[in-house]
Amino acid sequence: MSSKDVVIRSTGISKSIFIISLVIVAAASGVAGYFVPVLLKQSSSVITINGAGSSFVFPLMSAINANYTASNPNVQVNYQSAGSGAGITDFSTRIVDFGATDAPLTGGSLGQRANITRDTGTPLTIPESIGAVAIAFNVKGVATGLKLNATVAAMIFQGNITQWNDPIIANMNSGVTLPSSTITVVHRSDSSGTSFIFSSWLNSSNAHYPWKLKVSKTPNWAGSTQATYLSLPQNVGVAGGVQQNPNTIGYVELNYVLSTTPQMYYASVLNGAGSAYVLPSLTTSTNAVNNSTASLPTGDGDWSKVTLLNAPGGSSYSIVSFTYVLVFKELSVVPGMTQAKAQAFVNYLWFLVHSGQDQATKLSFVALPFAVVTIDEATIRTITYNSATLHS
Amino acid sequence: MSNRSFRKFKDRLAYGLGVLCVVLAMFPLASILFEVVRNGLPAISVGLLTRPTGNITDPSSGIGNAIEGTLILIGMTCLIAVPIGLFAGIYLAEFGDNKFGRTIRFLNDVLAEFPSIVIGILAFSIVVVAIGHFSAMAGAVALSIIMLPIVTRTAEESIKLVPSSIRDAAMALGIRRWRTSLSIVLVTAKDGILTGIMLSIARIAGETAPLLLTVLGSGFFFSGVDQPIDALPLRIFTDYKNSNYPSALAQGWGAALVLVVLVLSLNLGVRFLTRGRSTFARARA
Amino acid sequence: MAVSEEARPKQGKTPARARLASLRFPRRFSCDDVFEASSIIFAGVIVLIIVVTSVFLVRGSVPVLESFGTGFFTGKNWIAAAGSESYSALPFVLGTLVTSAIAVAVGVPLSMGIAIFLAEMAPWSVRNPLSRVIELLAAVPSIVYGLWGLFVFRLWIRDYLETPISNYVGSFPVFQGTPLGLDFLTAGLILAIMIIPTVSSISNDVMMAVPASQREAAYSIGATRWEVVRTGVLGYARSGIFGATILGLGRAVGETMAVTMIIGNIPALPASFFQHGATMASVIANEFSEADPGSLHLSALIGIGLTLFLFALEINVFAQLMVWRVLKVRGGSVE
Repeated sequence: MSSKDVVIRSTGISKSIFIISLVIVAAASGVAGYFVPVLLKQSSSVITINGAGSSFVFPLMSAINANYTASNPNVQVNYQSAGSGAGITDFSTRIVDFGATDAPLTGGSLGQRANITRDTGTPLTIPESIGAVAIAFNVKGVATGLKLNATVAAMIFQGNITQWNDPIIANMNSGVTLPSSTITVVHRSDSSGTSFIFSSWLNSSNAHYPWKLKVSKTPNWAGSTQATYLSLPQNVGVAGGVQQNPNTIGYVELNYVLSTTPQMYYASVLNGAGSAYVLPSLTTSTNAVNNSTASLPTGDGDWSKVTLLNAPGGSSYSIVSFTYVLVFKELSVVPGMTQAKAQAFVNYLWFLVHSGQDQATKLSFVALPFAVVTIDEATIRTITYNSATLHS
Repeated sequence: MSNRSFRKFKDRLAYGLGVLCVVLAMFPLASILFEVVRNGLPAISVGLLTRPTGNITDPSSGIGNAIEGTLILIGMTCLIAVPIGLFAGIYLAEFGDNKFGRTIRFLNDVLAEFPSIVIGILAFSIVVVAIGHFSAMAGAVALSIIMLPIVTRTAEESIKLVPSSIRDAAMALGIRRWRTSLSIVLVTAKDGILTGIMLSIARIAGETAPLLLTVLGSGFFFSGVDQPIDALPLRIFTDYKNSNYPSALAQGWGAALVLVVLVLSLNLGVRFLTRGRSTFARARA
Repeated sequence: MAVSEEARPKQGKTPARARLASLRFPRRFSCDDVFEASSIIFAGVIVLIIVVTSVFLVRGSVPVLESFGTGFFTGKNWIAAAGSESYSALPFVLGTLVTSAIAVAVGVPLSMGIAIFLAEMAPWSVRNPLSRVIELLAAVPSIVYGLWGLFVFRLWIRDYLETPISNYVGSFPVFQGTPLGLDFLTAGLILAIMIIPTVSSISNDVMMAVPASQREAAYSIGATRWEVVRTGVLGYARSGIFGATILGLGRAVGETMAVTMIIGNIPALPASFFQHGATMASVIANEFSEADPGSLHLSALIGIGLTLFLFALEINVFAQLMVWRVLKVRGGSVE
């Protein structure tokens, strides 16, 4: 017994030295990681602004924020894609400095906006970018030219139509040879602002064929049993699901169909005027915003009724929506806010809606039109810290 | 005679099936490693390993902050979980032969079986909401809850394996019990304890779900324990979400390669250099 | 060679030693008391965590249980859309059960094969290296499993397993639907891979703990290696192997990331292997951060967390009863 112990002990020494050294290396790198940035930059003077929310705007925000830090090295704006719902939740519980969401705060006396106003203070809604949802498909022999309207799309996505050569689709697409294959619907498996925008548009379908699966970030896909569904996480999952599987149809943010290689095919959609089928593009999405008759409220107003869907104008794309940044009008309600941080924050917001928009086009995002920037300017001017305005 | 050959055949068959099972289990491992290396290796460069995220759509974006974040989180987690786990292990081994000890042992095993997402919810609802923002601290608390039961249990097991003759010798020399436990028993048991710690580090380094709810992620280098921090698993997920930008996907695979190398080298190091005594740690880590 | 638990003197409890210690050191204040007290406090942290978790989960799920009562466990729908809210944990409980059952059904026999092979049959030189390689499966982070599952594994399953099954027996209800590789079956199979290291390494240990006399007895009457395993080893190790299975089940029940990425997250009652579904862990991962603070939705998710907690508790009671008892015997006999 004891001799066996001695053997174990004697071989154990070098091993434990090795393990101890591994622990020391891990701990040392942790400590080094702690101190290196502190030594490199005077961390006391670095202001960190945290935001969370919409996954869709993440690439744009990432580019804008990197750009902003390059010219303002002592301000770091950290935006992370936690999802639109998380953007609203984390903003309203003030665990981030700002939220971003594809769906506005819900209105009404029981809505999110009323709750936040009651609990904390007035939330400001700042349109920051414009999202357009494209209907991507993968049907053998059909490259471009598939046309759809909200009613037919709703019938496809909730399973009233299950074959590609269904007469209803064929009537709308004369000249296009549609196969007699079963349609596979590809949709988001995660909770998503993109699903919210798309289901809002599907909800504008003909009263004879109403959209039954709810307007939601998680539409009730389980409520339909007819269609074949393919449920994948994230825009990129849906884009991949459409590309890799024949006879599929799905919905993704416009910048995915524009930036994904190999080329994806996407449908043109009946415009709001009912006069023509319009392909989604940066231009037709901008048209939708410019031609929209929606009256835009002020930043502290209720944006839940604002819709850019089915905007008038011959060349306006129909499935378009704002994405918003949410900030508090009185910044002192946010924990850890200081005068300097509030000032830096407002300067950043100003940058976001002005120079920041320069990043949009090359990343296949729609830049904010002038009219919207003007509203945002007015909103940013109303932001205060301890009742003092920060930008004039 | 035919009965005998049939028995031999059955023996051979069982042997063949055993080989088949081993091959079937190694196949996914080989495939995972192959895919991670094939996709990740081309992305690895000095720039990738040292630069912060910055603009994720830019090919010059790096994963330096994620590597740093993972190491800091590991360090912070160890600072919290190792002392608690050691003392709890000492208690279970030395004083735990009673009802309270058995209760703790049971609860510790329950904690080890805890789904990590529930621990994430807990850390979010308690630490994040209490502090008022996402922070490295909250992530370290969540990871500590995952690490604690493994450290406790391996500490207990290792201490129990220390021969009582060593204790008796210490006692005979008039050394107080607490000094015996800390300076003699613990040192004798250090191999086993360190094995448990290293394996639990390997386990927490790859955790994603609790971090999603607690540390938020960051595009910048570390800026304080009360600030958001990045980590390799989070970065892999973010890169996946943005993989319509080919450079982001490549960086995600690069981050996956770094993470897998980190975790596997911890594992291999421990497993090949110690006898890996603790069944518990191997089962849970 | 064995010094059993009983034979080892229990420190501090031997009256003679206690008397001796008190003689040698006049009892002013005892560092030992402080030491014992502090170790109790640290051990108490574990109790504290469990208590805080239980309180938090129970309190958080009160609103949804008040609103739906037992309907929370028997209803069919999970609809978070404002205005038609309806929450039931049933689809997720069943989803977790189905995926875990697949994982156990596929993973445990494989693990048994591995454990038997490595403990009883393989040449001595390869036993250790092979078992360590198998254990590496446990080290692969779950997000990496998720990526691999989405980009590689699901396509294999779709093309080489589901499509042929669908072609031959697609009319059976449980194989209905278009095989797409994102379903209960794929999720269950990826879980099967993930539980292999847990189940095989514990089973291996349990078999190694079977006394050599069992094998010797079988060999002495001319049994082949397989017969030794079957008659001598398996019967003896049965309860330990069952415990290992339960621990594997625990792994499968709690796994989040990999499952969330490939199961499709549709809150539908499972009817076919080729159908999208959701598990308790996946729905929490998917929706927790999106739920409004104070909403019924959040409460429902915490209610699912509570259910998951109870699962973990039960699984542990079983595992404790089965596996650690067996290994404790071994622990005593080795040292």
